[in-house]
Amino acid sequence: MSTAITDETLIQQALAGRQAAFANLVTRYERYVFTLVLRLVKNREDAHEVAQDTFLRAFRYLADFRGDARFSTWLYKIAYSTSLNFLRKQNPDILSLDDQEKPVNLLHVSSPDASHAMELADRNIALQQAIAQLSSDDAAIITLFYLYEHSLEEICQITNLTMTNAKTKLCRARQRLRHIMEQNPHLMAG
Amino acid sequence: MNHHFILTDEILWDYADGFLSPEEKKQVEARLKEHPDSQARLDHILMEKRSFATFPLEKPESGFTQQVMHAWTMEQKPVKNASKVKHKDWIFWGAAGILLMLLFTPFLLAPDAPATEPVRIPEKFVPQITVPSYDWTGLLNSNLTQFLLLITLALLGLKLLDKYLQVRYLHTAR
Repeated sequence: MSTAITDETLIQQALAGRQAAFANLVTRYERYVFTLVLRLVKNREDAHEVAQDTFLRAFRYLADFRGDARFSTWLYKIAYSTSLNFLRKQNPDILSLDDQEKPVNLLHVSSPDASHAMELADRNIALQQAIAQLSSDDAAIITLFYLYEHSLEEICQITNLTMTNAKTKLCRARQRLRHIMEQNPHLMAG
Repeated sequence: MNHHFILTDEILWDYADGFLSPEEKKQVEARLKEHPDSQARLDHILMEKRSFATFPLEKPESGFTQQVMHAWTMEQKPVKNASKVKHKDWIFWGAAGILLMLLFTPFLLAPDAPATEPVRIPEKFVPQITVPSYDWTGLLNSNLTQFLLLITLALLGLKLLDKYLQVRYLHTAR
């Protein structure tokens, strides 16, 4: 992530009304927000809409960002709650992501030719398939901890989980992912 | 964690993820030195952990930033329009004020209008103006005056309602 201009500087500029600063923040975080949202909503079109909504909500409440946490933590918290709201609208019976026990297989969504991904030895697509097989909750916590390198405390801030719950969920998600990856040993980093 | 603990995969994962206290970490490291097989298991866990960190970031459609910025600009527009409306409001309120002043001028000019505070001006500076006395009761009691007054009040009431709805819309749009 580029740190030429700090997030704090961009936020101050954005609050002063500079549109370029808003655009810079979007460019800087679009892939991170989109990835997290996609892990949760499991559909590219929906993820696009929810990610956009995340940034708009963040801009609306930017003045409320106090800086006592990393900007990314604050932004991912918005992304997480926006995704959860979206899922609840889609299925009002969902009270938490725990209710989505059944993982969604997105092979056809992640890539049009994903069924041939293994044959093509495209490791990235195969990794995306692996994580797409996890439930929303598992995929999000794995992404936040291992990919975005957020601490357990930060994950608690984002997801409103307790430390114990977050750790339990992380362990459970990791076991499930390991199980998927063990079936595809070439996915392991060398 | 005591000295006779077994280095389970769970403990090794906690070690790799940095969840152990400094004391527990020391115990695990001591055990790892004694048990090369555990070290091999830890190496495997670290390799798996590295794999988790190599998941590729997804890329939104091209032009995502532009789309967000366009949506943001559109969201800001009602505020800009509101400022234009606000500007127009001054014209309206100004006109309404003048109209009201015209309506109440007869009362101000009426000879029996109560003075708020007596002002003493040297007589030489006081121009000798005689205010023509006029019976305004006829004008005030006329249907046309009452109709104009009623219309003005109705317009002001509608404008006030419009203003309230605008503010409410802007509040809900945010």
